[in-house]
Amino acid sequence: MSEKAKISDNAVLLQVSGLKKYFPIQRGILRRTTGSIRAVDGVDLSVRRKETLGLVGESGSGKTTLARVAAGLVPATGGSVVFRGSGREVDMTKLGKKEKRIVWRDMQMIFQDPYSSLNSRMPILEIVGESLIVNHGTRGRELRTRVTGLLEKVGLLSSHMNCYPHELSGGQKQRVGIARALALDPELIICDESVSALDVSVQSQILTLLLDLQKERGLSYLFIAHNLSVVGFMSDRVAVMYLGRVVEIASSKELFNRPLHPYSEALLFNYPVPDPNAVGERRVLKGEVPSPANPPQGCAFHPRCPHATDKCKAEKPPLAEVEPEHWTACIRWQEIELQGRPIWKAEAASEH
Amino acid sequence: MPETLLKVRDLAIRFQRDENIVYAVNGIDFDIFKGDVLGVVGESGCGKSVTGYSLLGLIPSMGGRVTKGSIRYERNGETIDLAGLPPKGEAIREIRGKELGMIFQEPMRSLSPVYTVGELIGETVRLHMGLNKKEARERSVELLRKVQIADPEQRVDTFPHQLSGGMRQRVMIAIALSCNPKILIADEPTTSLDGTIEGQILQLLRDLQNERHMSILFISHDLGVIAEMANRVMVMYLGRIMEIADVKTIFADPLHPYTQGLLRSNPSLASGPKSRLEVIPGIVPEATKKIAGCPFAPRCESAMDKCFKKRPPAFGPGKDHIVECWLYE
Repeated sequence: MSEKAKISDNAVLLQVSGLKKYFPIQRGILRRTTGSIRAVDGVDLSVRRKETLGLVGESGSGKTTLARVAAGLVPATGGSVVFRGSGREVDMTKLGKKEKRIVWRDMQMIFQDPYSSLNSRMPILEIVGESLIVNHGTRGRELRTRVTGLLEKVGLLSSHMNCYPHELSGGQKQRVGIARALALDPELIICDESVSALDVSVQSQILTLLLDLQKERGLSYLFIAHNLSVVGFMSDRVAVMYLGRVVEIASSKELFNRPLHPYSEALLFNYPVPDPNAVGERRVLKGEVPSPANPPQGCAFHPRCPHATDKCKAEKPPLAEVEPEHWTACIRWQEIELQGRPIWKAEAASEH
Repeated sequence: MPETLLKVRDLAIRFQRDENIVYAVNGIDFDIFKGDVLGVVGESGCGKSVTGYSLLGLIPSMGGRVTKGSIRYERNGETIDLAGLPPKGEAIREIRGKELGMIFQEPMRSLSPVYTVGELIGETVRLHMGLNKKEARERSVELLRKVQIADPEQRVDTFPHQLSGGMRQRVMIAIALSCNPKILIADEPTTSLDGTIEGQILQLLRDLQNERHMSILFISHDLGVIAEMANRVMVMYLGRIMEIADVKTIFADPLHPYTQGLLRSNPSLASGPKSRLEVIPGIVPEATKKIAGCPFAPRCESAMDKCFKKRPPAFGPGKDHIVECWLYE
C-alpha cells in the first residue's frame, strides 16, 4: 500500500503518511466545538527527489491545507510528514519553531497571490535577501551580489532590487517570489497555485522558468493547481484529491490516458479543452461537492459516482497500488470501464 | 445572412485613473448576430470586460466615458444607439436586464445579500414584465427549475450566502434569463468555479443557448471555455481587436501573431508533460499611452517598422475572418 516498499527511502524527499487536518467548528457564545471540517482526511503521498508531484482537485478538496501542513505552517491533527533535506530526516509535524526555520532552508513555498505574499514596505533587495540575512548574516556588497544573481536567474534585472512590489507587474512579482524561494538553494519547493493569477502569456513564461530551474538545480516540486492542463504539463506524477483524500496517483501521461478512478475521469471530461472539435465530450456529473464537515460514508465520491454500489457506500476504500506506479482508491476499478482523454496534441495525434 | 442584432462601430472608451488616462477600448468594430455566441478572449487589460459593460450602458457608472463611436441596437424595427443613451435614463433601463441580460464572474458580489433568491429573481420580472407578487414567485420557482436547482420550492426562500458557488451562478443565470433576453452578456461566468462544477455551468449555458437560440457575448480569458462556448471568436489586445473568425478557424488556422502566440503558450496545446512551451516575450503594458501603431508590435516577432508607426486596418481573407495586422496587407 505504501510507496515505501518499492522506492528506497533515500529516493523519497517528502513522505506524507496518514496525514489529517481537522478544523473545529465552534458555535454559540461558549465557542463549543460542535464538529469539525475534515480538510485533509488521511493522505498518503510522496515527492521523490528531482521530480514534480502534481496535486489537482476542485476548490475545497484540501490541496492548499495539505501543502500548509506539509510545510509546517499549520499543525497537523494526525499522521506524519517526513522530510529528508540536507541528509537529515525530520518529521515536520513534530518540529518546534526554531527547528522548522532550519528545515525551511531546504523547503520553500511559492504562493498563489503575488500581490499579497510580498511585503509592500520592503524593497525587492530585502524581500529576496531576507533569508540570506537571517540565516547567513549576509550583508552589504555580498548581499547585493547574491540578490543580483538570483534576480537574473528568474529573468529580472539587478535594477529591480531597489523597486517596491507595487512597481512591478503580476508576473514580475511572481518572479520575485521564485527568487526569494531560491535564495537558500532549497531541495523542495511547494508551489501553491503559483501561476493561477497570471495571464496566459505570462503564465507560460513562469512555467518555463520553473522547469528550467528544476533541470538546472535538481529541484523537487510539489505543484498544486486546480487547472488540470497546467498540473499535467508540469508534473512527472499527479495525485488527484477529492474531499480531503487522495483518490488516484499515476504518472501524468498515464492519468490522462488511462484513469483508474471515476472522479479522475470526471475531471478529465469536464476540463474545457482549447479545441472546438472536442465540444460535446463533456460528461456532466450530478450534484455538488459535499461539505467536508459532513463527508459521505464509505467512498466520499459515491453520491456522485455513476458506478457506485452498496459496497462503495459502506467501505472507505484505501489508496492501493493496483498496477506498478498506479494507485487508486476505487474498489471497482477492475470491473468498470473508464476512459482517458489525452489533452496534448501530439499524443492525441499518435492515438488515432 | 443572419439577422444583425447589434453593431458596434469605432467604439472608444477611456477611464481616468489618478493622473493617468486609461485607454481601455480604442476604436473597435464588431457585430452580434441572432443566435450568435461571440467569444471575446484576451489577457487582463485588453478591454474585453469594458466592451461588455459598454453594451449595458454601465461605463459612466464605472467612472469611464465613451469618447467615440456607436453601439447600434436593433429594436422593433428602429435603431437605438446605446452609447448615446443617458446612463440612468428610462430608455437604457428598459433595455438593460430585459433585452440585454448579464451574468458576472463573482456571483456573491453581484447578488444582494439581504434579499432571498425569490426576491432577487422576482424583482426583475416584476419590474420588466409587470407580474404581481404571486406570479413573480411562481416564475422564480420555474426559472430555478430551468437552471437545474434541486428543490426549487425550498431554495426560492434561501439567501445567496446559503448557497454554494455553483448554485449562486445558477441563480445569476436564472435572473439573467428571467425576461427572455435577446442578448446575454456573460463576463467570465465560470472563472470562480472549477472542475466538475465549472463543467455543470458550461453545460447549462450551452443547453440554454441551444434551446432559446439566444445571442451571447461570452467574455473569457480561458481559451478552453471559449472553444467550447463560442461559434465566433474575437481576440482583443490593449483595447483593440486583433482578429475575428469563426471558432474552428481561430483554433486551426489563426493568422494574427498574437492569436498564434496565445494558442502556443497554452500548456494543453504543448506536445506533452514537461515539453517546451512557446512563450510570448515581454508583458502586457498598461494602457495609459496612446499607441500609434499596432499595440502588439513591441512583443511581436514579425514586427516591421510600419507596425510601430501606423495602425493596421482590418485586413482578412474574407468578410468572416478579419485580422488587424500589416502582414496581411
